[in-house]
Amino acid sequence: MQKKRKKYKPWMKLDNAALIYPATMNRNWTALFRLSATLREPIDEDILEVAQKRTLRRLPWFSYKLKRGLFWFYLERSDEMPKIEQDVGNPCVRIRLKDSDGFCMRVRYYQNRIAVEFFHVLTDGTGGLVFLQTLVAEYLRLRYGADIPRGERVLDCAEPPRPEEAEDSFASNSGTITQTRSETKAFHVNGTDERGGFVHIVTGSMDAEAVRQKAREKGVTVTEYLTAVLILSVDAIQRKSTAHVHRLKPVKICVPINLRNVFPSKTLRNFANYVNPGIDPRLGVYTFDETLNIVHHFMAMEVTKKLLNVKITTNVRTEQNRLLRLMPLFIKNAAMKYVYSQVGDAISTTTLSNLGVAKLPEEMAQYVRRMDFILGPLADNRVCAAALTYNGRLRINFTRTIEEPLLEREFFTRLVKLGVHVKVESNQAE
Amino acid sequence: MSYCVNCGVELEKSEPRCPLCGTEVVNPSAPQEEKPVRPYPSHVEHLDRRLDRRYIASFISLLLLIPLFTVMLTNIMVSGKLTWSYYVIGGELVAFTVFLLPMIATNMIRLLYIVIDAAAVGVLLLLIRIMNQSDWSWLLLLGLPVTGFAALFAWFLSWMTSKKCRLPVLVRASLALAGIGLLIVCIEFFIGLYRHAIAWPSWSLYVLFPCLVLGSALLLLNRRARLKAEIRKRFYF
Repeated sequence: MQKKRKKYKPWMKLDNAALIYPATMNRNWTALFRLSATLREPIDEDILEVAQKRTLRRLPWFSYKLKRGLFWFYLERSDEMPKIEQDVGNPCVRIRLKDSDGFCMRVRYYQNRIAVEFFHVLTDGTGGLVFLQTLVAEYLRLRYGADIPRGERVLDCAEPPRPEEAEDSFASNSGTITQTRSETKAFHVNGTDERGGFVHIVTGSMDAEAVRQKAREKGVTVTEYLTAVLILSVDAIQRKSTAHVHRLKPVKICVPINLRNVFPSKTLRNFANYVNPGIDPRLGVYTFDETLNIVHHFMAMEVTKKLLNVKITTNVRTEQNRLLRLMPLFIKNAAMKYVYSQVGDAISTTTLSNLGVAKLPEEMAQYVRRMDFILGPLADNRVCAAALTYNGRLRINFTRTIEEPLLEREFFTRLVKLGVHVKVESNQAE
Repeated sequence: MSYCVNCGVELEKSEPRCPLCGTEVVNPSAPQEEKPVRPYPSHVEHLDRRLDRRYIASFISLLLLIPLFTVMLTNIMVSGKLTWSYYVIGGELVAFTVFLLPMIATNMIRLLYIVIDAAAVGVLLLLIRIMNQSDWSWLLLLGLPVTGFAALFAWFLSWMTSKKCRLPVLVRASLALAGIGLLIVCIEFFIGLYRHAIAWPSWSLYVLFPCLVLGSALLLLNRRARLKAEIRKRFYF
């Protein structure tokens, strides 16, 4: 007889990084990101639903609902399941909690593709990728009877949930020293607003090994290489639009850092931080090598256990502030909105989130043709980019809420000039 | 396999034109194949439109009718005819024209807006006169002329703040100051007219002269480029 499963926690606090997202969301914007896997055959909705159910049993807090408390938002357990949806032409459009019944993620499918869109309160890219891989593995098991070895990246749905996977690793890794969050404001790419909230997705796919070779020639990592190209692309756009040298603003790229690589943590909730490498174009025109050098050494300096610990501590201390804790939620939200407007998107030009390489077990990889990572539109920045490598292809997805594809064009043509072969795809209307 | 002639990137088969620059894909040697599957479905999720101010203003206008009718009904039930509800009618008329009308009629020219506002204030004053049963001189000699001049001044200010006005900022400030001084003098004149005691302006001069002196100082300042630069330098922050 099957043992009755013990119910998981009835409610959860938001983790430290997640606090800002419900406070800053509004009717037309939620901080989302999307991970998708494209299989070789069309998706069966019913099987996908069963796979989702089993995956949610292993990772139960993904189906928790976001609720308002008197002082904080919290996640509440629910026994319902989010509905499987048909995909749409403009992915990552805001989740309206009223429409989604409070669920903070949605599984969508189109043709051969399974996509999961996550509200950032639940998890970050790494946690999302584990969820997607487990979901796809479960789907493949049910659909084709594939026997996929389970481990840390592809979880075994027969096991009970592990508490360490749902811990707030920020709290356990904070120290004592804090620093200010304020930074100089950065240049923003502007353009004509897309009416009705259409989100443009332009995907550039390239040979991962070729890019890695290019980066290795310069002695930098792939993320640093792409960041430098992106910085120079933005710089070119800014120089075209601004005549006065004095009016040029710093170009800074927000690069998320996976803290699991730096701190010991098994959490599958948010555990990432950001660094903002960039240049000040007022000082003159930067060459590619100079920019690479700046980005490389900036990352070496900032992405260290000590400095990241200071950043984590700053955020955790704010959360622990008694005055802030006692403020009613609606005042807290207003305060957090203000802080976000000052030190959120304002201090970076755009985001380049590189999730690295998705490695699947051989038994699973034969069914999965491609994987994508898309960031939802940011609050104030109109263009952002996300990268994921799978099966030897590095795919960079640009998300844009303005009409003009300025940054993508500059970025991809620059890569072509650097000798990288780029293949482009998009969700543009026919 | 098609490349964009403009960007140099290879295009996925499903792309009808380059997503980066919009150049159409024309590949004469490519055989006609069946339409490739697009990477995303054509169905698009739409966002809510921004708050429709016009709709809300119309809605509030309708809501304003509720207190209006309630007051009129009560008034008729108590007094048998309309008496004190005239105040409410006039007050709501002014509130509507000043606050709600610009939200409903968004493209109205400013002059028309000011004329309508002035007319509404005039109607309110007229209703007050009917209520007070006082003589006409108060309305004709004081109320309406002051409203008219205030409207004229409002139009003058609105013209100066519009984009069409090419005058330097200092000249505009100087003219505005002169306008304030003259408006005060006019008000004193009409008060005198109402009291049948037209006299040489007295207290309004205390306003007029500082305004004129300050205004001419600004005009002089405007002519002195070097002085302007000097001030800008000293007050630089």
